[in-house]
Amino acid sequence: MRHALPTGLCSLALLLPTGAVLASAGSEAIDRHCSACHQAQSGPQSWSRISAQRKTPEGWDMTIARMQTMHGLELPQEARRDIVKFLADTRGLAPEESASQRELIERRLNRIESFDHPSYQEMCARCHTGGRAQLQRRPQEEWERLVHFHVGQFQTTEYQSMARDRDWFDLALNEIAPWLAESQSLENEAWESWQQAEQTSPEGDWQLWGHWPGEGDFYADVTINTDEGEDAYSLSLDGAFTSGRPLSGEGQAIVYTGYEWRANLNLNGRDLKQVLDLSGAHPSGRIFDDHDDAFGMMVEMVPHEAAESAVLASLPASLKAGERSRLVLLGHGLGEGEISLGEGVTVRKVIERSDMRLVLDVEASNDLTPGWLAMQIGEISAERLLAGYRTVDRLEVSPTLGVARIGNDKTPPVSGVFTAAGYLDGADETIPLGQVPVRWSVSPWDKIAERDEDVRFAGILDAATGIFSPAGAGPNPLRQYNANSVGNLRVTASVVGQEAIQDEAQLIVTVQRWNNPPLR
Amino acid sequence: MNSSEIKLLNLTLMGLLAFAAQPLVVNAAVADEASADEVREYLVTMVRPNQLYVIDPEAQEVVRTCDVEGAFGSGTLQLSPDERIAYVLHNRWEDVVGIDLTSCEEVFRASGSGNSIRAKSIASLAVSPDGSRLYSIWDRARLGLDHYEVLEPQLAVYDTAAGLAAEPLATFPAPRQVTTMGAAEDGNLYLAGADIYRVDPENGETEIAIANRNWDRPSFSPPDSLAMWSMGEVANEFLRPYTVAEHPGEKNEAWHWGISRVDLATGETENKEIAPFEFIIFSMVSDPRERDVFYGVYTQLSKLDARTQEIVKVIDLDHTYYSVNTSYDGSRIYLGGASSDIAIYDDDFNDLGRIRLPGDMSTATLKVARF
Repeated sequence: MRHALPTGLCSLALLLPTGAVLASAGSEAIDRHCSACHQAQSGPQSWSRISAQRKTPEGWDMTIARMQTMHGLELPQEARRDIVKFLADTRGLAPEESASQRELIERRLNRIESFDHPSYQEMCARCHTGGRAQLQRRPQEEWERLVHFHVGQFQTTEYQSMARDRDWFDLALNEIAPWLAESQSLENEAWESWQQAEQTSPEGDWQLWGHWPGEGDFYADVTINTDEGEDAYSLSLDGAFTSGRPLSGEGQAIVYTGYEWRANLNLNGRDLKQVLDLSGAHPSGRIFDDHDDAFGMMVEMVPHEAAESAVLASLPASLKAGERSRLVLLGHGLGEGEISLGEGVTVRKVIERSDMRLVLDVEASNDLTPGWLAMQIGEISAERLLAGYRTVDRLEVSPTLGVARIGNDKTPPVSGVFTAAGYLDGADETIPLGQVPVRWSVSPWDKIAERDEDVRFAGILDAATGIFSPAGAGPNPLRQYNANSVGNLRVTASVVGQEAIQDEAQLIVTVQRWNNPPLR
Repeated sequence: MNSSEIKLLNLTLMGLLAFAAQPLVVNAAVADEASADEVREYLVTMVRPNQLYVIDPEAQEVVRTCDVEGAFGSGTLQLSPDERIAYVLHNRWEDVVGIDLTSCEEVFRASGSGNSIRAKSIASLAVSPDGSRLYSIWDRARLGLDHYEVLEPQLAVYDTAAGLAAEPLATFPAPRQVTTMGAAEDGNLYLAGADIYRVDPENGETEIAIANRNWDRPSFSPPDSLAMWSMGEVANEFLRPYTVAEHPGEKNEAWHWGISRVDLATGETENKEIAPFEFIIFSMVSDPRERDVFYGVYTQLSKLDARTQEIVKVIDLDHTYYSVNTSYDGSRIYLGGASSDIAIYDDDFNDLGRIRLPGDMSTATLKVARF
């Protein structure tokens, strides 16, 4: 089978191909609620338009939402859920097909897209992400109909900047639609083979880790149980930050298309969404705030049971000479044997030890040699997982360009969330140190931002965490033209104790988005 | 009680409330009296949610408020030749409604939509010089059961006497991407699209009057123009401002404001750069006394002189305005659109005051009418 989930979990596999044609709540709901317009066609479970498209669960849900808001469709919430589930399962995207757009699905919006087409950016991706269409598969006729829909529904499409300088409609039909039909065809091998693949259940015990903005690295044991409903699961999380502060929570999830895990979580009292791609050996994805999508954390997850022993993660990724700190090692087969963390590192105390986790109190000596720390846990060695350093050679802030949004009760603000990673630049090798302690500051990006006092008006950057909280929305009578509290800012991080080691990013603080679908 | 009577009552009430502060006598009845013996100048605009406003700029008072049935948008306005009827693009850009400015009576209504076709006009309205014809261009889509089909845009010719369910006398295929229109005294229609087109509304024959996208000017980029505002009645011209780069990408690259212009009295056309491009302008009109002097508005009010190719004067405004116009004697500049106040300046940009309205003008035109 294609998913390299460990053997222990294979026994739990649901051996149902996703593409199986069975009467389901979803297909019955389509017959009931959609087929007055999308008429049944020859072949089982085939409806006009619907059956000629494939999309992500978010893509299908947005289509149904549009039918409700623009075409007067009245649909019980349960039917909407059933239809999305059915269509994502039977007309979804294979993991290879969604792989290039995981950032969009995971709501990592602070990135700059690029495409292998000279005008796609201007023609399409000036209004929405280009990724939004890249997460669809259609034959040419359906791409052409999408062009007709755009001009028919949003008449000003062809009058806007980067449209009124060209024959937009003709170019969209005759250049963009054929290119999309070629590069994103309805039928292809990836989808064919994915439909034949056996799907595995995520039920079982897992370990998950990530970095919570402003709080630090965390790890948690995750227990996933089947729940009522098709491919529905409940999960509980029990873990801690590396500081020792507890982290716990629970949630509900549905798996679409055999690998698209979507969960609602509550972690330490905060409501969050979780998107995971379960198709690989280590499910990975992101946990984020649905209303403040910049606030989120990349996470990885591995099963408790594994055939091979290994150290898979070190939290943090580096130790500073002369400092005593808590170190968490995650993996398999860590329960037994001598612990050695390399020259210059002393384990003062073993706080917690199990087969999959070591929580240690360690001290790095003042004369530690900067570089990789060769780690040995019993029989397991890891040469390039933990680094030691005295000083940071280089700092990298990400994202390099962030967009935050002012907000209010109705349209919550979107934060700026920055991280700073340190590096040792060796002669032969660059060694990543992970996130190192920095101080954050903000200044005007340019002369205009300085003149308009953007730093004063646009919001506040937390010097310790790198999290920017935007100002309130609306005209600001203190500003020229009553302008909103927008800004163009320079965000700078400098290493604590090494102020000369800096990096910076641009933060544009802008107005609200009024239309916030799951795929932007 | 019709809407004008309700408004009359409201205005009378407003007058009473204001009486203690100043001897305010302007109301609809007075304006009607005034129209009997002397021609006065009024400002006409649309305000959200769906009111047409007639405003006395001298007294800086609202003279009349007409409810126009349907939803706001775009608020594009054109006037009849006697300037007593305003035609407004309304109801989310789908209807043209004629309103008698002296009575608020609805005298004309046409929709391009119907029979499974949704038609919207992107600010394309014009009235023939004799007032008998109304022209619009409809961007149309056929709404099928499960798909849309975008149709060719249509130039529709209406008889302005056709009443409240007017059907076009004739329709002709029209180019895509057309916004504002102007009707010249020789009967030709001018359309602001990729180029400025000249159309004979008798037969739909279309030619390029002023090449823009298709101009042959090797040292210039194609021009960019956002032409959404249908002024020009004061100078009797059809004007579209544009921005353009000269020597684009080269060391001596220079950006300019330019204009494409049709003199509606003579049919004469011209296209030229008028001043450096230093800030955004949403709409522009010429000075009726000196038609190579132009006023532009957005977040600044500016005066541009094509004779010297200079920005003569520019001031920051308290907020953004979209629509600029002038009095017929050129002594006053009126700013509307976007927000909910009309600003009045003299031709040296001295602030003459504000007229506050209860709703936003948004994309509406600010017209000047005399009756």
